[in-house]
Amino acid sequence: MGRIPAINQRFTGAYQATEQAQKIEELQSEVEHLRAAQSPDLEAQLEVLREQLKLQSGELAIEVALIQANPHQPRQTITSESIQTIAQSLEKDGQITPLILIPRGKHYLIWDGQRRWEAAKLLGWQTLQAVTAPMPKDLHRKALLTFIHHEDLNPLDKAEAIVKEIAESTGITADEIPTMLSTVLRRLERAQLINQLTGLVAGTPEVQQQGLRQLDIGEKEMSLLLALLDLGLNPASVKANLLSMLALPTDLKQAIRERGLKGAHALALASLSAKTLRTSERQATKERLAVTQQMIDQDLTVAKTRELVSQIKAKYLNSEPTESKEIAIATKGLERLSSDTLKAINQNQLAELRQVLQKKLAEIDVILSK
Amino acid sequence: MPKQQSRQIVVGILANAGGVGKTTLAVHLAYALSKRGCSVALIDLDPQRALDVFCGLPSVEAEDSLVRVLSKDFVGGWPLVRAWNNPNIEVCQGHPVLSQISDDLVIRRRGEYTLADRLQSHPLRHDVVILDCPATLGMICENAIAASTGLLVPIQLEMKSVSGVADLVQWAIAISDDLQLKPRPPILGLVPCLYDNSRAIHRQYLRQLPDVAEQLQIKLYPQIRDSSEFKNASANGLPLQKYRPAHPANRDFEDLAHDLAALARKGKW
Repeated sequence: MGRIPAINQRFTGAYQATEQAQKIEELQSEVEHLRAAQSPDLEAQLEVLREQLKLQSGELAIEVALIQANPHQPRQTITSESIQTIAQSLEKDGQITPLILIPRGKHYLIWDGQRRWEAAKLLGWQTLQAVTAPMPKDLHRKALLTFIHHEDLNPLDKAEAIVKEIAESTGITADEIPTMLSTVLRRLERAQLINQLTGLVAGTPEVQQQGLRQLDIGEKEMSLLLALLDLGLNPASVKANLLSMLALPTDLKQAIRERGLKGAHALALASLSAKTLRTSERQATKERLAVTQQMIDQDLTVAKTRELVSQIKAKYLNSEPTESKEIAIATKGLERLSSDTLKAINQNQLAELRQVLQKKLAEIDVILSK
Repeated sequence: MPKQQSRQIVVGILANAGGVGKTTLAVHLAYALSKRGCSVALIDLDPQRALDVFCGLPSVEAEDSLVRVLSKDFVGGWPLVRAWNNPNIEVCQGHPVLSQISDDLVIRRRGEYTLADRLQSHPLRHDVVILDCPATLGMICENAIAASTGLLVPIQLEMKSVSGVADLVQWAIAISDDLQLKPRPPILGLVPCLYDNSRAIHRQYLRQLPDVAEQLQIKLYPQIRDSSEFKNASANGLPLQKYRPAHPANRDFEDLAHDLAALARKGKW
């Protein structure tokens, strides 16, 4: 009977596939678990809050005109497209979830539901269903922490929200923050201490405080870095990826907010400045707007954008007027015409010369006056 | 929270070899489930339409078969006929044109998900849907996998069928992965079929199977014995339970029917 081949070996591939599939499933559930633990599910949290508030104050119909946008709303970017989509769904299905509002005197600030509010205005609705919540002490911080690790927040909004929060918690002015951060980071870089700083991101507040003390930095700088670490942010990447957004020209900021321009693209476009192109601000802005349009229309990659940018730069820098030999020779020739020579030639020829010179002068005037 | 409601289970019966007892398993399982109070839909995905014979049904035109359900312009109204005059067992019959439909599905949008989409948008009322699949792994079987909540694999204890099952297990995992089925329909059980205790190879392989099943993390069900009465029953278009109610082989399906009925009721295995 032993002569019949065993079946076990025939299953080697199937065993491997089974084991692999199981490992993948385990890893996936672990990832899900970690994700849930790391960034709290926004919708779920809001749902709980909404239910609590409904029980406390009940659902109210609030006049759309009395509702105000929250100036601390970190999501500054609300595209008209997303509002259109929400308006359509409001019109079709009605309002399903109530807004969360904070009463302020006669008015209400939006805690959650900015886009539904914008959509309702678009539809000409008079009222919206809402629940109200008391004003939290640290509205901005709470809103920020819920949004900060949210992927759909663009880097510009993120940067502004972070600077605002840091300014509030440390007392350093918003203008000072970018400069102070780059100064201290540059110093740490030179002292090769950047890795030590980055290592503190995952630490407890005590570890962070202690770690910062060893870096030999000023009091203000310390509170700045501590505030960033406290938000779970790596100061070096905040500087590299976010603060550069704040220095962008207005047209690019606007494109990020209203037309979904990506951060990396914006940085590439920003190098088309009046200074690098050696041209006027107006001309530089015009170039940027044209490329931005092209990028959005054609959905260009960052690499392609950079290529386009360098083409434009080349166009400007090469077209710099060069000295022309021809002109130099002509000028010299004219100078060499002594008054004796002019006197000696016939009137017709002289009149002809005058005509040519006058024509050339007019052309030169036009070019120079540009 | 409301109590968990019973939910429909869709069981794909797959084997990567012919003549190992797929249709026998499908038919007798359907009957045993109906005896346990479950309503059952039997769907014949096989162009050879063996289910017609086993259920004693005259063959139908393509228009009255699964062909219409899988066609592009299906608007609902599954073509179902009762089997053995049992109101709890209905059959959606197969048709040879299914093999052409299978080619057509390859180029159709969501081709692999057509059956799953049909069951979603035009749901069947039954507690259990049993998919009797063709022996060749292809587009139709991919449809079965995408539509199934669980799979059953009959295995005959001979090298051809055993090899087929080994490949099938790998294939099912790979296809579930390709089709991004979440969750992947688990193989609910290996069912040794056509077991003949008088054959040395059957006895020997049956002894080796528990080890294989354990490593595959698949439940191994008791074997279903071979009997010429199965052939006599199907020649009469009846399940053995009806043809010879006292036959001992009828009990061979009980464990499996019990587990599936429980699964359909609780929604949990």
